[in-house]
Amino acid sequence: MSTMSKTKVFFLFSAVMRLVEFPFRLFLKCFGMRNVAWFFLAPNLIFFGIFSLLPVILNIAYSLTGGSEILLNDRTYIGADNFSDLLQCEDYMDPNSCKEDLFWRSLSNTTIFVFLQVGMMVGFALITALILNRKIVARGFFRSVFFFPVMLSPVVVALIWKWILQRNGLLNAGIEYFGYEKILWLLERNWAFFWSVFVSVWMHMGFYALIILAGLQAIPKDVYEAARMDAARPFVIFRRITLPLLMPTMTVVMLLALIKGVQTFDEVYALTGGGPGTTTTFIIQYIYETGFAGSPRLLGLAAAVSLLLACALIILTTIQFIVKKRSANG
Amino acid sequence: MAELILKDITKDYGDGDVIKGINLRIPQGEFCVFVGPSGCGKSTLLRMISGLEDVTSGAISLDGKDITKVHAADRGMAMVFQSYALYPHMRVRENLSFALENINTPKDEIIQRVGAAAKMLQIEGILDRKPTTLSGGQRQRVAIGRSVVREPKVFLFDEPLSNLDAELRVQMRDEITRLHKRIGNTMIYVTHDQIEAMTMADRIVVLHDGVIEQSGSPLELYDRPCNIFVAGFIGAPRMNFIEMKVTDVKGDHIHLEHTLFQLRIPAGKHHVSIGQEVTLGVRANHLEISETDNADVIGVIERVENLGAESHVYARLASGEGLTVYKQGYFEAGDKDKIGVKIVHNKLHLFDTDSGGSIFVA
Repeated sequence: MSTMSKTKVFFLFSAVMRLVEFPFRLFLKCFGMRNVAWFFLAPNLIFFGIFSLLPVILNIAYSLTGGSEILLNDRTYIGADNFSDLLQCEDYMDPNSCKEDLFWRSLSNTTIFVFLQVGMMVGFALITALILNRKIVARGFFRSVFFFPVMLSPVVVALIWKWILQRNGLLNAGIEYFGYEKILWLLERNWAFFWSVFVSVWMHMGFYALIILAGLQAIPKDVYEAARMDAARPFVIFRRITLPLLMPTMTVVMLLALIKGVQTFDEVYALTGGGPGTTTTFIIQYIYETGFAGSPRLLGLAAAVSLLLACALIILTTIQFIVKKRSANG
Repeated sequence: MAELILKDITKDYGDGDVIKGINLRIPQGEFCVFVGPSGCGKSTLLRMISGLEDVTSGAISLDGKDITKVHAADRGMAMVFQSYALYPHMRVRENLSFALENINTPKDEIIQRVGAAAKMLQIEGILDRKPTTLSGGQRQRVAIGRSVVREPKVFLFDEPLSNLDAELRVQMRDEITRLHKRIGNTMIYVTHDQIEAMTMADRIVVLHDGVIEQSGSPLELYDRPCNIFVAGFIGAPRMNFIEMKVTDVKGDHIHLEHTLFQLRIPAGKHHVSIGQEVTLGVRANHLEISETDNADVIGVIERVENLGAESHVYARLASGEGLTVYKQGYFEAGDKDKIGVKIVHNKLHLFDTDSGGSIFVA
């Protein structure tokens, strides 16, 4: 390259750099070197502020207002009335005696759902991971198979299962083939609830199994060999070596499953629509219907429920971490 | 009695034998060290003895009983792992008692045996701590303690000191040797560190490419290595090797010729013939630095390691062979200086260059 063209490239390079560096230079001029960290933090802070912090603040603000207007400015400040309406009950064991009975029903449904779903999810994911961790034939294939549902859209999952479970679906066709009567899987209360849990577990289990599998593989091989030398039989090895060493992973899995379980909405909504009646109406569906789908739109009430839900999750998470820390130090 | 016998042991992982027909008898109470370079099969052999690895063919017997197919836990052996393999979630006390609980030992006996092992290994003060809070040396003691409480017939050590720093390694080496003297059980110890092997073993088994090259007492291996590999592996600095040719065998002397020098060495019992290509083996401490005028061979200094009490002088001959010369005390010399070396004629080894086997020891 000739000296002339080298000079041209150099000038072009510095011109581009000056352009790129302009915001940085401007920031340095205005705020000095001491505050340079803020320059690099700003994009993240702005992003977090707009999409996380601002909605939380707005949510709190909405929960203190009433009416059906959408814009906050048009709404009436009503203090904690939304919360007192939600919590107003003659008998907390009987949702019918509560002012917002659907809230209590969906809360009760969600509690039972989460309890069953997290239990089944963690149990099945653990069993699956333990099997996939063994030297089985076509291990890679099975790992993919179990993970596959995680990649599907919840609505697609629901539609697949609806196709299987509807009145004239695949399952009933099989039942009829063997000479039994059809069962209304999605229209009978207990069956509908069961299938909501089952489909949800089926859909998410692969993800948790993968996390547990990673946890299992992180346990050193020679610890198992030491246990074998120490005359530990397989069940003792599982109970006294694998499970305790897997506990940190299990805590994370339980935590994630719990949060995800509480947030369950789309797959169940597409599968059962919350029915029959309100049997499979969960708390997120209640928030959605109260705030957006119902008429009038009770945005304040919906915001109050979501705040209470967030508080409940924070408390549960904290308890779980405390228990984990105690058992680790124990 | 805990006599261990290995008969025609082989191990094949599917791409050829890694252990190729090992035969070995380890008598009761012997401290036997398996030594060899990485990949020689020493750890595999130990793991087969322990039962953690299956034997492809051959038989292992302990006290005359065939244990080849016996579960690892039922062989009456305990193993100390390279990584210690302590149970990180259990306290030291639980680590020690775990094996005893698994074989339904009465509680009182567990307490007594754990206490005795802890006292012997001086870990009484850390019984209620978890392994993550312990130093390397403490962890090693706990790992040994875990073996001791089981009162096994045979102790197996798989490079147990390789994760420790130099000072601690010397200390633990001494402690394991004392432990062996105290309890007198058979111990099999795997290491690639020949100093550990030389200082701890009653008998060293040198392994190379899945076969036993030589087995014998440390000094036997040092003084009478059966081939070039053993001669090169045992002893530090490494033995020097110079390829020569036998020009004459006259009466009580062997005449050797090299492009740079000739040697006339006193012949005892030998298997040397005229014209044979041989490799002369001579240890660094059997070479003496001398004036170049009356030296057997002259080299150029490449590097000097002054270790304080001794020095290792690394020189190269004009023919390309390297020589390491041991010298007591300091040795001052510049790089590329010429050095005269005299060979102590009654401390030599001759190996057949083709087969590598020993054919003469002075």
